[in-house]
Amino acid sequence: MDEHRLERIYAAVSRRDGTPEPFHRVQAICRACVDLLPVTGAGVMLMAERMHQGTLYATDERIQRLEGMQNSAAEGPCIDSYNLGRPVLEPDLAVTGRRRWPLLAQAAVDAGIHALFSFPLQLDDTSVGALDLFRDRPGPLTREQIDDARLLAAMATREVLDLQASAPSGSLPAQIADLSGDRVAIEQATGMVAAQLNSTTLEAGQRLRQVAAQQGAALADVAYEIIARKLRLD
Amino acid sequence: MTAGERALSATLVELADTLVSDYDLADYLDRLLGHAVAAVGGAGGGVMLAPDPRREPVTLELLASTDERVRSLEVFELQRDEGPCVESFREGAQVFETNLPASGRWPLFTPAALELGFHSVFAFPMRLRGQVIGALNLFRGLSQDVDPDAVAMAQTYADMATIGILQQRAAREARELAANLQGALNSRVVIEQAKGVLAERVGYEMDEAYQAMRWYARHHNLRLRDVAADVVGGSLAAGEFRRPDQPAP
Repeated sequence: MDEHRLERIYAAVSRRDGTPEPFHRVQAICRACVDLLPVTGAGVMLMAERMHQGTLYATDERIQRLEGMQNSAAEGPCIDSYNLGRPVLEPDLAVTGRRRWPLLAQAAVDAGIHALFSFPLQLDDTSVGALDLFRDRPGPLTREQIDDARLLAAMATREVLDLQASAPSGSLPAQIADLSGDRVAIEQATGMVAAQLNSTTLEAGQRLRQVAAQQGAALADVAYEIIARKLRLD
Repeated sequence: MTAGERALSATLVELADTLVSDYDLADYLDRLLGHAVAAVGGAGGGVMLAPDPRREPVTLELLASTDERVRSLEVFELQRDEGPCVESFREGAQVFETNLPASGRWPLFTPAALELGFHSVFAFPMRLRGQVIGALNLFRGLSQDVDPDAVAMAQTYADMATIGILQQRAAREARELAANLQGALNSRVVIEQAKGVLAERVGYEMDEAYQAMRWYARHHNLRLRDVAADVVGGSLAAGEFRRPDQPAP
């Protein structure tokens, strides 16, 4: 453990917020990422069951849109880092990113995201989410910067667990308790489609994404149609 | 560097490794105990731990011992709630008796110790800052003092045992929190999906579906998330959710 790095990172985070309260620390960690690293924005996402479950905090709303894109495409660097348990770095989404995540890369570039670096929030061999950093133009992180980001991700993991510890048993802390409206619709529509097709929710979700891709529509929009009973998939 | 200092250094290096990887706590304590016994030229030793110091009454358990002789003596100490180890834990202080045969200190423990051939005892508290989590007990066959360097080294081993145990507890708590978080995150998704399933199968509005599941959960003393999981998984039929007073849509 490099003590100088530890001191430097802690100082950067403390400059952004003095309070020990976990959610504020998460905000401070994200802001410190933008201060210390050549990135445009940073966010902490929570994940479970191989999917994004919510953005805990982001310095830039493009991070939240990225979450929606990755859920719609069912692919992306954050999903990969979470599943693989190691950082996933893509310095050029428009070129090399396109080969790795054909569906996601275009949507991300259209939104002005040209490089993505995802660091899993890791605890032994489980992950609870990711620290995501993006650049609005292509370019890599140096070895040093990657190590800094790993330490910031470790700090974020600690704060997320502390935040969970503060919630009553079995429930979520207030800051992550509510799913976004779009997300609620997508999951409800998934349930409806699973019942219509007599399939698993996994298959129903795949079918929904398929239909959205065919129509060139956003996944959430298709979901709202299904909930309004204007569209059936059986 | 003396042999003792070499052993201490080696154990410190070992500790650094264990702090970053999974390890067998019992094995680690055995090794530390062995080093501590050797440091004082002892005949045996044991480690006692309070698994939950916050619970009243505080109970101690024997976690490690060098041999059967010591094990039986330590168990005796715990059962009678009397002896150097128990006292060291309670006081949070070192408790030494260098001449057991002449001592009237522990009327129950002393005869038992003498019978086993132990003539002096050295109990070290296992503490970190204000918290005392247990005690490490060392026995010698001779009625003899131990030099201050050896005492310091034995206390260091006790401290390392403390750090190792607290580390493991913190890691276990973190794993539990992570599992709670994952479970709670997943529950939200399953509950929304279950609403959709019932909306389709029974014709409910989403909020009606939610209320129906809540009613079912309360009525059958189940957790909402478990009811939702069963709805999604197909093991709970939609027909179960119509309340007796509710007409079919």
